[in-house]
Amino acid sequence: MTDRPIRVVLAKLGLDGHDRGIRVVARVLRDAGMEVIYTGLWQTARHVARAVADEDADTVGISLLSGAHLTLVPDLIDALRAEGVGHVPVVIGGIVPDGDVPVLEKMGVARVLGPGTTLERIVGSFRELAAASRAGQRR
Amino acid sequence: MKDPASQADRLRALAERFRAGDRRALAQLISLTDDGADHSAEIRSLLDTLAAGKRSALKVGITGSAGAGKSTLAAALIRHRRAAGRSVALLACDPASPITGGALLGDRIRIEYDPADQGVFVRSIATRGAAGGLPPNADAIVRLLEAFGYDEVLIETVGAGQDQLAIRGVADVVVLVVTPSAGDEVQWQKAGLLEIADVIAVNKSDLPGADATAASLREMLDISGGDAGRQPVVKITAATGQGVDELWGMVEIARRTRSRNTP
Repeated sequence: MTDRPIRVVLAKLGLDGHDRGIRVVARVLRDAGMEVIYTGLWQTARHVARAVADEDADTVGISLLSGAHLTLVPDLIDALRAEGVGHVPVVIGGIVPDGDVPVLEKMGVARVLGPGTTLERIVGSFRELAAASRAGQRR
Repeated sequence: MKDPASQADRLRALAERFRAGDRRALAQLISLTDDGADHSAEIRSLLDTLAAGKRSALKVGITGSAGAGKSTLAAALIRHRRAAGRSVALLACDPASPITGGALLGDRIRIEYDPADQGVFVRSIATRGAAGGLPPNADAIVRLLEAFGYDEVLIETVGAGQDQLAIRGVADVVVLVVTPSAGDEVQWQKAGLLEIADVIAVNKSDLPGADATAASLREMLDISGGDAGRQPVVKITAATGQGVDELWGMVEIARRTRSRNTP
């Protein structure tokens, strides 16, 4: 368990077919040495939570360009808890108005990465969150 | 590094939850098994305990070249087996980069199931540099899935070329997925995949050339089949489920034949 690769589930939540961004992120995380489980488009909160649990992911990244984040994210947080993986940090990427960021954070989102976030910062965020998540799980 | 005592405690706690049917404990034990190295001896002895007295699962390997339709077939088989009331686990293997160790595990894109269904389990695994088309501890992970109680365990290899044959040692029955016009007869005559397959599925059989591919495979196999008879060849379209029922019938026959021939 010394240096095992970070495992990340990446998903598109809800009715949103814009996957160019998440595919770039998948590629960048892969090139940073992570194991990226990409579940594809049109996932429900429960599908994503099931994938996070069964894949034993360290973090989960959600791409949302539909504007439905305030509806879908609470569902996801609930579904993750129901699957026993409420401790896994959630990263939201995509289009989120500034005013909604603190709202999402209050719901339990670990980080919101909007347009213009550098790839370096994306990789760094997943690394930090995965390390914290693993440390917390081991106690 | 953690101290060995807490590691042993952690394993014991996980084993207890595993026995109680906690799917999260299974998921975490798979990670520990996948990591291997610094605790593989403990894991293997734990596995022996967990597997004791458990019925063995039917283990079906799915192999074939990249893009042949292995994941789509796995999805079709999951639907088929769930409809028959059987619980099923899938271990989906994808390659890891030899340079960075990173991997893009994309099999879930093709695999859909009801997230409330406790009779399905899907796990994506990177090969982590191992040769042969499977990760180094694939056999131990399959034993975990078996010990958890799944009736059937599907193992999807990485897109296999011609000599990635590790699946032979892990699965009871190996299904080779090929596509129409995947090469001339000389390709089939090269040693390797065709020899380890128990059943050959010509996928995407709605495409032109499927009949010719199936016929040329049958001819080839007739020559080398000998007294044992040749392996069955079946045309399927995994995306629609066409032919999957027939394929499963052949898998069950192959299992019986093999268990007779291997003591």
